[in-house]
Amino acid sequence: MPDPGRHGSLRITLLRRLLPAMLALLLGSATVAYWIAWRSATKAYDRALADAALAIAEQLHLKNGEVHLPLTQQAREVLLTDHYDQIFYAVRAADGTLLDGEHRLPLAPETRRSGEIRYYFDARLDHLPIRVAALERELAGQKLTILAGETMVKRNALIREILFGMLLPELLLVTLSLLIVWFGVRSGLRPLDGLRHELAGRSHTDLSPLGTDVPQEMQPMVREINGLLQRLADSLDSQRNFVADAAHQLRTPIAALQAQVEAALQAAPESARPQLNGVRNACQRLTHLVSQLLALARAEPSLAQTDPEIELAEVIHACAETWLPTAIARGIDLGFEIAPASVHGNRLLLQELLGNLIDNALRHAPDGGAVTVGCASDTDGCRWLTVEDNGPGIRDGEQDKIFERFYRPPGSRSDGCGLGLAIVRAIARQHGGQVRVERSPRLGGALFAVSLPATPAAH
Amino acid sequence: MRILLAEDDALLADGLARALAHSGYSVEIAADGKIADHWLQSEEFDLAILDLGLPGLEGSDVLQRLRSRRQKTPVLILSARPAMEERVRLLDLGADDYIVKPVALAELEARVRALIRRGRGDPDPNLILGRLRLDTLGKRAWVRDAGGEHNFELTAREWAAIEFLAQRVNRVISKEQMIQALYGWEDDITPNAIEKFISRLRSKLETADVTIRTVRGLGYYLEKPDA
Repeated sequence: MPDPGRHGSLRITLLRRLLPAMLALLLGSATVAYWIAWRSATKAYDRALADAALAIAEQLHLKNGEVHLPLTQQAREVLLTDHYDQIFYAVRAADGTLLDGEHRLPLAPETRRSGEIRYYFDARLDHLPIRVAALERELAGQKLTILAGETMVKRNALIREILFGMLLPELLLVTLSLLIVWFGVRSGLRPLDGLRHELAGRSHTDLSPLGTDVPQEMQPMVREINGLLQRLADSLDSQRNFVADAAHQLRTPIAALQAQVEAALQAAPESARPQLNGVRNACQRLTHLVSQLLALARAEPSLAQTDPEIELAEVIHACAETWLPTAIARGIDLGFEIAPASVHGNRLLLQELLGNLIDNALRHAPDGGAVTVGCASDTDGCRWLTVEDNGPGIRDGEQDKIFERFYRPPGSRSDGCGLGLAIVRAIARQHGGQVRVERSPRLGGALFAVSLPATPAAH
Repeated sequence: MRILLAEDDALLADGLARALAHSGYSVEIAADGKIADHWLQSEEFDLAILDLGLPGLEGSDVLQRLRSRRQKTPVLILSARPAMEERVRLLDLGADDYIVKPVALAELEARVRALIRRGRGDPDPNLILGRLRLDTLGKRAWVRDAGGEHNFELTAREWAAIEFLAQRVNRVISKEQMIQALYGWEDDITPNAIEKFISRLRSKLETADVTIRTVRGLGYYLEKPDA
């Protein structure tokens, strides 16, 4: 399993890419908004300020060649009063001499005097930033500059207002987008989760294609997975077919060998019989191995045909008749304990399973020993097939190994081929069941217990 | 007794033919399906043993042609495939028996004997168990000893029980089956009663070397007597 953290979550990756872009967008739009707000505020209030300067200019008179501003106290107040800002005015001659008004209100720096009749500039009054409107007038050949200045309170207020008015919704939008991405990814990934569950819930034999009921974007992936499953199934099939074909092909030469040996035995003198019997026994073991290989190949494909409902008692009955002669010949008490239990599955495969367990038990029980075969169902809906013997049992540490193919415990003297228990496990798994081995409490030997679900595993 | 053996594997055919010849049969080997078909058409055989995978003509086709000519020659199929469906299909086609390779000679000979007897239309009415001979036509039992055969006294129910078991050698018979065979549905026979009955019958039959075995948990079992 690769470390999921190293590959990063889709959600984090998406956010990591989206967040800087959205913040940059926010910053850019804030700059533009500030510029627009500043310009609108400046233009509107500049005009009002110029109007004030104009009103003052209207009042200018020449009296004895002197510039005179006859403003009543009331008019001054109307002109210079503002709710938010302080307004100042000054009238200066071309050389800068103050003719009337606030002496701290400066002339525009040279560079700002564009030669126009009306212009605006920023200045400072006692370190307070102010905006000044300047008006050039000629009165009796004398060049005058009328200045009206105000502090920036309402301009800044308006800029702030516009800025917040535009930025707040945008900020909200960004937050909302991120939330949508966060939860959207989760709901968007839900079909993927469904796919994961479908795959996780599968048995190892189920190579059927995945459902294609997924969003369009996932279709190619599901198609590829299905393609892979198909190729896997094909290659497993061809492997199984190879084993089955090989086993079939081996039968005829083995049959020839056996027939030749038996014919030779009939005509052989007494002295040659032990060797020929040895050849015949080897031949029978070869026969057993080939049929076990076939059984294993048959046991491994996915549950192709299942019989509707099988009484385990019937399976036991069929196996009993096969194995009783062997048991009787060795004086082994082969007994049965049958309780009602039925499963869904393949009858022939279950017989193969039980036959292998009985064969195994008979091989390990001593002459005159005992083997007990049983079936039962428990309250959890589980069905049990059990085979126990009074042989030496399975040594600790071997309990798992004995189910491996061709495994034979060290010092084992039986002539089994080492496939029987592998077949048992393959068939049990194919029916959604399990097999385990422990010590038989009653007989002292091995107890093999196969648990089978009453209904086959859901695929 | 003539047997046609259609088998393309020369070693196998030779081994089987020699073994069957040793038992007194005269065996003709056909290594090709067409040859087998031709011989079956033109000559008389007491039994045909057909391999399925024959060159020229498949074993199942040879069988089909034989049966479509309404020839009654018994046919034993020899196959490398143990699949159940295959077995059923061939028996439906008219095969009399089916045996999977590799085959133990004793079993082959037993089946050959049975098929030839059946083909002659005179099934042996005698069932042999140990030293006991059951004459199923005369419903009488005979026991063999050093002095020859003597009548073996059996009650009607004992006869029914031993005949029922003898017809089912190597099969496990449950107590319920036994009760039904011996008493029908009429009486209420307890498993305990049948146990006592079988126990008496068993000790009686022991003198004739016939053993009725109790299969713990399943029922009764009569082993196939050695041929």
